[in-house]
Amino acid sequence: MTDVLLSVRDLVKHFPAAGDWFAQIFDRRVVRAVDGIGFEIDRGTTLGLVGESGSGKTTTGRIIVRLIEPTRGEILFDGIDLLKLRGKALKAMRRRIQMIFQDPASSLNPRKTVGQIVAEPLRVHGMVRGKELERRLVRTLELAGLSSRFLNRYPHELSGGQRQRVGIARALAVGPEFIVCDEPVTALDVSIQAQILNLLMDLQDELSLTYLFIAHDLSVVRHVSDRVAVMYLGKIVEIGEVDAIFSAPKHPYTQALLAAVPRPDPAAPPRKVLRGEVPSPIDPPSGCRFHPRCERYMGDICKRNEPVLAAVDGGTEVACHLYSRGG
Amino acid sequence: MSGLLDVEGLVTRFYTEEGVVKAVDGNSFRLEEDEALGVVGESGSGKTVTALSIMRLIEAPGRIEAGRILFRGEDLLKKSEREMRRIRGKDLSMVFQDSLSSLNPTLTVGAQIARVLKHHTRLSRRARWRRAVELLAAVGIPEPAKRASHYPHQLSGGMRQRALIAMAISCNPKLLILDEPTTALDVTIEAQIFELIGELKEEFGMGVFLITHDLSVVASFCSRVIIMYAGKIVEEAGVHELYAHPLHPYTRGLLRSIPPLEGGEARLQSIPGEVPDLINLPPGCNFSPRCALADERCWQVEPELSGITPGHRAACWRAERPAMAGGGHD
Amino acid sequence: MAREIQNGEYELGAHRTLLQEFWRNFRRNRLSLIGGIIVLFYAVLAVFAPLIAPYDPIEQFDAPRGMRNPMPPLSRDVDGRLFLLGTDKFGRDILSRAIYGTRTLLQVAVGSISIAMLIGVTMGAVAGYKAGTWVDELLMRAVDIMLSFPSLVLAIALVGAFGIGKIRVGPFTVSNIVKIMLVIAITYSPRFARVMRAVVLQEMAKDYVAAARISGASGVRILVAEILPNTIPPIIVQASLMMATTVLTTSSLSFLGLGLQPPRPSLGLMLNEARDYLFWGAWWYAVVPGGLITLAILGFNLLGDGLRDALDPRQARRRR
Repeated sequence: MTDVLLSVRDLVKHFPAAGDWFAQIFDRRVVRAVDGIGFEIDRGTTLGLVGESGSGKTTTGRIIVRLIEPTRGEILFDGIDLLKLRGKALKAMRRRIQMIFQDPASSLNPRKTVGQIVAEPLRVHGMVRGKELERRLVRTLELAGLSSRFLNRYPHELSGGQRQRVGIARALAVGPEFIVCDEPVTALDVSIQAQILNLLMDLQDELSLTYLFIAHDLSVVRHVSDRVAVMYLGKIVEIGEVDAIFSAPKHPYTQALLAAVPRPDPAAPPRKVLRGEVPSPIDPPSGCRFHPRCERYMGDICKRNEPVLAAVDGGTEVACHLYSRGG
Repeated sequence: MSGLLDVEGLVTRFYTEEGVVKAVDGNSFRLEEDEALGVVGESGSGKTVTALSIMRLIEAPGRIEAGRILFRGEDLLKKSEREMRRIRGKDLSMVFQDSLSSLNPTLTVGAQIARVLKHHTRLSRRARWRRAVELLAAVGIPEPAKRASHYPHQLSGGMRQRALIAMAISCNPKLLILDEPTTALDVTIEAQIFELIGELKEEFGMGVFLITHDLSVVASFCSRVIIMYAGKIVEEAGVHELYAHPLHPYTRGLLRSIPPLEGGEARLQSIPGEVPDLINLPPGCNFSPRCALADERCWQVEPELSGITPGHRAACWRAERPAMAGGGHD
Repeated sequence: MAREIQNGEYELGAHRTLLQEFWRNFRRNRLSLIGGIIVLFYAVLAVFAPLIAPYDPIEQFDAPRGMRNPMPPLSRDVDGRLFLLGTDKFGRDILSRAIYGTRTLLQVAVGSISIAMLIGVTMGAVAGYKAGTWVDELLMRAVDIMLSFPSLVLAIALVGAFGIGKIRVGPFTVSNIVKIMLVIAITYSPRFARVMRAVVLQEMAKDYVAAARISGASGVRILVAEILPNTIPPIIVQASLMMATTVLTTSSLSFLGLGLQPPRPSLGLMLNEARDYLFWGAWWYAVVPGGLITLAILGFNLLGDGLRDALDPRQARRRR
C-alpha cells in the first residue's frame, strides 16, 4: 500500500487582475494563477513541480504552507483538511510543514543573527528553552552543514550557499515532516547548487522527509524527484514517475520543454525551439491552454474541449487529446 | 596576425574601503572574427568585469591597471572617452542581463533604437524609425510597427531582451558582448533567444563574446570556451575538447556539479567550500583550498596559464601530466 | 551519513556587531561627521546651559554712561561686566540668552519629534500592515489631507485653534511649551506615517516575513519582532532630517509671536526683537540667533544624510 502524506484536490487560486480595491471596481478580471490542479505525494518521497514563469507552481507551494488562501480546493495532509485549520490547530500544523525559499538574501531577517533566526520557530512554539535551546540550535545547524561558529553571525556576513543552509536549518528546527522547497538552488552558483542538492537529499534520507520541490531547472528536478508534475498556465499537463516522464514525455509541452534544455555536451543534438510565449493567465486560450503553440495541434477538439488528466501506459497521467481518443 | 579582439595581460582592480579587489588579474585571450567565445564563471570570477573593461565602462573605485585591449588592431585603452563613445554601440555592442533596467522606462523601445541610430548614423528621423521597426522585425518581435511604440514595461521579459538585442545590432557591430543574456528567462525563451543570436551572427558576420554561468548554454552555442575562477582564466579550449577532456580540476568539478538530464548517479560530486574573497586570495593557486588534487606546490606557487595540448590551455600544476589529460579519473 | 560541516574558517571574515558596522560606514563620510559634531555641540549647549551661560538670561544690565542698550559685542556695563556678544534692547546678555534659547529650541524640537514619531510610526505601521484595507485607506487619506497644507500654515492654524499661551483641556492645564510640541508633532507626524508605511510594505514583501508566518508567529509578533527592527534605520534618518525642519518651524512660530512667549529666551523671538534694530547697525542682535538656527539646521541635515548613507541596507557592505 502506498502511504499518501499530502493530497491536493481541485485547487484553484484566482487573483484580482487590478491592483487596489478602487481599480477592482472597474476591472473585475482575474489572474488564473492556479486553475484546478490535483496531486498526491507519498510519505518520504519528492514530487518535483516544474513549469515556466506564470505556470502557477510558486502559488501552489505557497497555498500548501498557508501563505496564500486559495479560491477553492481541498488539501489533505495526513488525513487532516489543511484549509479548514484555524488558530491553535493551524499553528500546531505549522510544525509539521515548513518551507525553504528561493532567495536566501531576502528570506533571512538582516537584523537577526543566525542563532536568533534558527531559534525563532522554536521560540514561537515554546518547544525548548535555555541550555536545551542552545544544544538544539547547534544540532540543527550541524544538520544543515554549519558549525556553531555561525551562531552569532549576521546574514550579510555569509555567502549565498551558507545563507541557504541557514534557511534550511530554520525549516528543520521544528522537526517537520514535509518541506516545500521553492526554487532552493536557483539563486546559487553552480558549484554551490550541487552542495545544497546533496544536503537536501541526505536530509530526506536521514529524517525521512517529504518534499514538494518547485523548480524551473529540469535537470535539477530530474535529480531530486521521485515523481514530477509539469504545469502550464495554472494546469498540470502531465504527472508521473520521473524516469517515465524524462525518458518518454507524453504531453507535447513536456516534450518541447525537454527538447529546449541545453546539455553540457557540445555533441548533443541542437536545442529545439518552442515558438511563441506563454499567454496571459488573465485570458488563457480556450480548450487546451497549450493549443496555440502545440506542434501536434489537431484542430477543433483542442480548441474547444479542455483535456483532463488521464492515465496512459507507464502510470503517467497526461491531459492531452492525443491520448484521450485511444490513439 | 591579430584577431578581432586581443586582450593581453588585462588587470582590473577595485579600490574599496576593505582592500584591493583583484577582479581581473592578468588575463590574455583572443577572439577571432565571426567566432563565438564563451566565458564561464561563477559570481566573483571576473567575467562581467572583463566585459566592462573591454567596453571601457569600469567606474570608480575600479581601474584598469594594466594590459592592452586590441579591437581590430587598435588599443581601446588608449582611446579617449569621446572616441570610445563612437565605438560603443556601433562596432562594439553589449547586451546586459537585466533587460528592464537596461532600457529607459520613459521612452518607447522604437525611440530608444532610433536614438542609437541617431548617434551613429546620418539617417533622417523617418528613416531611423523605419529602421527601428525593421530591426524589431529582424529579432522576431511580432507586429513590430505596433511594438515599436510600446514602453519597456509593456513587453514580456523575452520581448525586452529581443528589443535590447535589436538595439545592440542596430549599427552592425563587429563584436557583440552578451552578459548573461538569458539568465532571467525561461528555458524555452532562452532557446529562442540563442537561436536568434545564432542567426544574427551568421547574417552579420559578427564575433560574439558570451558571458554566462551556464556550461550547458555554452556547449550548444560557442565554438571556444574560457573558464574563469577568482579573476583568472583557469582553462581555455575548443568546445568539443573542453567537454571531452577538461583539464582543470575546477572545470571538471563544475561539469560534475550539473545533474544530468538523463538521470543516473544519486549523488552529485560537488566542489567543497566557497569562492574565495577577492581581497584576500589564498597564496598559490586560487583554487587550491577547494581542490582535491592540491599539493605543496599548489598551495605555494601560482600556476601559469599554459598550453597543455594544442589549442588547450590550463593553469594547473596537476594538469601537465599527459595521463591527467587522457582520462577523466581522479 | 557524514556531512561536511562548514565552519567558516577561511570563508568568514572578522565578526562585527551591527553597531560596529554602522560606525565603519558612518565615519567614512566626512560631512556627516561634521554634522554629528555640530549636533553634539548643540546637545552640550542645551544640557549644560546653566553652567555655560555667563549670566542669567533674563537679568537686565545697565549700559555705562555714553552708551545705550543694545550694546555691541565686547562691551562692558556700568559695573564692568563683559558681554562677549553684546546685549539686547533690555540690556540682557545675548550670549546667555542664545544659550538658553538653544536649550529651549532643542527641548521643543526633540519633544515634538518624539511625539510625532510615536504617532506617525504607529499610524504608518498599522496602515502598512493592513495595506489595501479600509483601515489603511482611512489613515492614509487623513495623512494626505494633512500633508496638503504647507506645514507652517498648518502649525499656525493649530496654534490659532488652541490659543496662544498655556491652554486648558478639560481638567488639565497644558503649558505653552508642551502645547507647541503637540502642534508641531501633529504637523509632522504624517511624514513619519508615510515613511513608516512604505518601509513596512517593502519589508512585508520579503520572504523572511513569510518564513515567520510559516513558523507560526502571530501577526503582532511578526510586526514587532521581525519588521519593526528593520524600520528603525529609515525612521532614525527621517527623524534627523525632520529635526532640521522642526528647528525652523519652532523658530518661525516664535518669530511670529505664536510660539514661546517672553521672557523665556527663544532664538525666534530674539530675531523678531532684533528686526527693529537692524537699521541702527545692531547686527549682532540678529546674527547670533540667526546663525545658531542656521547652523543647527545644517548640522541635522548633514547628520541625517550621513545616517542615511550609513544605515541604508542597499549600501550595506557586501563581502564580494
